[in-house]
Amino acid sequence: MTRASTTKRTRAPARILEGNALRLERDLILLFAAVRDHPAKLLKSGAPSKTFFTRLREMFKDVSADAEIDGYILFLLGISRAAGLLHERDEHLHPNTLAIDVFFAEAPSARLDKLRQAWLDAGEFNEFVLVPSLEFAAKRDSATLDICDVVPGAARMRDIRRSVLAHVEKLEAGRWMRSDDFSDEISRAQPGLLIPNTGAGRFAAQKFYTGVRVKGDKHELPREGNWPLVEGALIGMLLRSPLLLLGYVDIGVDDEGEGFAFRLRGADTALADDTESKQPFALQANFEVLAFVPEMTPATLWAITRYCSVVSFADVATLKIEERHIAHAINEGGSFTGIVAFLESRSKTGLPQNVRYSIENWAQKAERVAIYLDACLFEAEGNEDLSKLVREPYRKRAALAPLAERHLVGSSNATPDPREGIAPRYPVLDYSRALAPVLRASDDGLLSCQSEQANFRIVQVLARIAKQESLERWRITRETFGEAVRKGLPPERAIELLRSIVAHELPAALLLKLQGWAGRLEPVILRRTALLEFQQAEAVELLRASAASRNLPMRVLNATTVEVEADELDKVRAVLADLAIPVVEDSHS
Amino acid sequence: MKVHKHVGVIEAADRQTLEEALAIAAAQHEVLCFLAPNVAVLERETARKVAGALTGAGMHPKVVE
Repeated sequence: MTRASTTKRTRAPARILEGNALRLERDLILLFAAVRDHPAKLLKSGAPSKTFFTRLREMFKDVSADAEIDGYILFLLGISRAAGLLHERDEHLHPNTLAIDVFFAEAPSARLDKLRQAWLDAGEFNEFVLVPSLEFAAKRDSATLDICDVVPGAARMRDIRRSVLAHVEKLEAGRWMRSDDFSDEISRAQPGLLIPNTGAGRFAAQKFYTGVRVKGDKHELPREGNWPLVEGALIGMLLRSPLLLLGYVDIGVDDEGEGFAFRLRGADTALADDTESKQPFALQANFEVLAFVPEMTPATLWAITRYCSVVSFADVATLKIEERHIAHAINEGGSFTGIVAFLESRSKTGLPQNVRYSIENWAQKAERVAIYLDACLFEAEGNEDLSKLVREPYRKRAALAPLAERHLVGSSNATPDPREGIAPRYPVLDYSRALAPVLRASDDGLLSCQSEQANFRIVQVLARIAKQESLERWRITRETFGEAVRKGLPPERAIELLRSIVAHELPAALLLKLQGWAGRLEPVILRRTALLEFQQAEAVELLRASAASRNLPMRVLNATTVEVEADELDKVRAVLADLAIPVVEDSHS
Repeated sequence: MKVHKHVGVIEAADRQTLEEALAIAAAQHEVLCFLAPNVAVLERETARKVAGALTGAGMHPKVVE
């Protein structure tokens, strides 16, 4: 370890705060349990909602004694997200249980390295806005990070962390140094730490820390002479918070409380102790677990917390086994026997029978319904054998599971492109978009499409309004249409659904039929009439001209044909006789 | 063979459990297709609705994202 030439030394402080990786990991476990039990709604800025934050503040008030609670919670959230231990889903934050399992299975040094790297990479956490002596003018109402030009964005903050860490690591391990002296050193070595000095650039010409004020002051700070108040405060925040919590430095505080000093720790002094007693918790018949936290490794604490809600969290933590957590563990690949074996082997008091029975019951219930929210489904047709059609390496890689005899199912998110596993001739239907209407319809109600093109949306509509005749043919009839209407499908909606799955316009004749079945056609009036077929057009003119015919209900269809009401035939006969026009009765009528 | 991508699927231990699950979410009429008496295919939004309804009802289905 090389020592910087300008390093100043100071005497050992009265009180020393040491980073404690074990405690940090325990707090992370408490955070994971809190996020699991109350998934955090994320705002547009990416920050958790105020409700969630208030809840966390309550949970951590006893845990975080020597760090500002808000800053500490944001730090924990920031490194957890950057390390992939928490992830975002449906605008909420959730624990990534499998990633957490893997994390705690690693050695303490690997875990600490991962957390340190996560801090360096964190984009959701900004130490500058947490500096307690400063306040910032918001550009918009309730803006948090996007507040002024001086506040570094995620990328700039990453650079600042790396710069300050590089300066810290140049120091001699174990030597105390005042933070003010350290800040002075950086101001000389890297004056553009917060506001980059880029020659003629905008920032170089900036005379003020725009939007930054000392708490309680109304005026923006000029840059000249105020490094200690701004950059110095940020460096102090980095030392007191992430660098201390992640075990890079120890912090020393004098009795006077003026300023503080720090020292670089040795490389192996910040690791969590991964030894524990064989039976570090007691399990009671009321499902409560008394966990002796100092006797547990983080891995064991996480393992028991997976099955429990947190009642209280101190050196003796009180946890409670609950159905939802057992079900969640089962649904993520755990087993009843595995859970029981863990509890029996690690509990000082064994596993009470009633607890065992309940866990067995919960495990069975959890296995009764599986829901794929975004599935990729391979469907065999006819005599096809999916084990031959879907290549085996692909089946394993995509973790496809058999379903309903003739199907394989996997998660669309986890499944590689299906084209990689099957021959190109087989169709892949993507339900995240509108599927092409592929059904053909004929005048007589026959509906058909090739079976490989029949998607579930088409099948759903056809199942409601038509009868299947073969693999590729359905028929819509007055009866099937009427049945759909009787089951609550409005006729107009039935026609609309059919239109949505037909490749072209519905045939006019079929559409008329459907409209008729839907009751849309006007009624036909059925009348009894008789036809008078004249041999001479003059006779028709004679009839029309006669005064007696004016009261007859008759209609001249053409020059020699007249239609009359059948009930009025006697009157017609009388008029014709009066006009001397002979009548011959049609023998067929 | 064909592949259906981005659909929701519910598999229950038996027909009755599936019917109950759909009824709790009032999604009986939103099933696209029954692959078996205990397996239903739905739109993704409907599957999410069923998962939410079951969780809200104190049941704990296995939910695969």
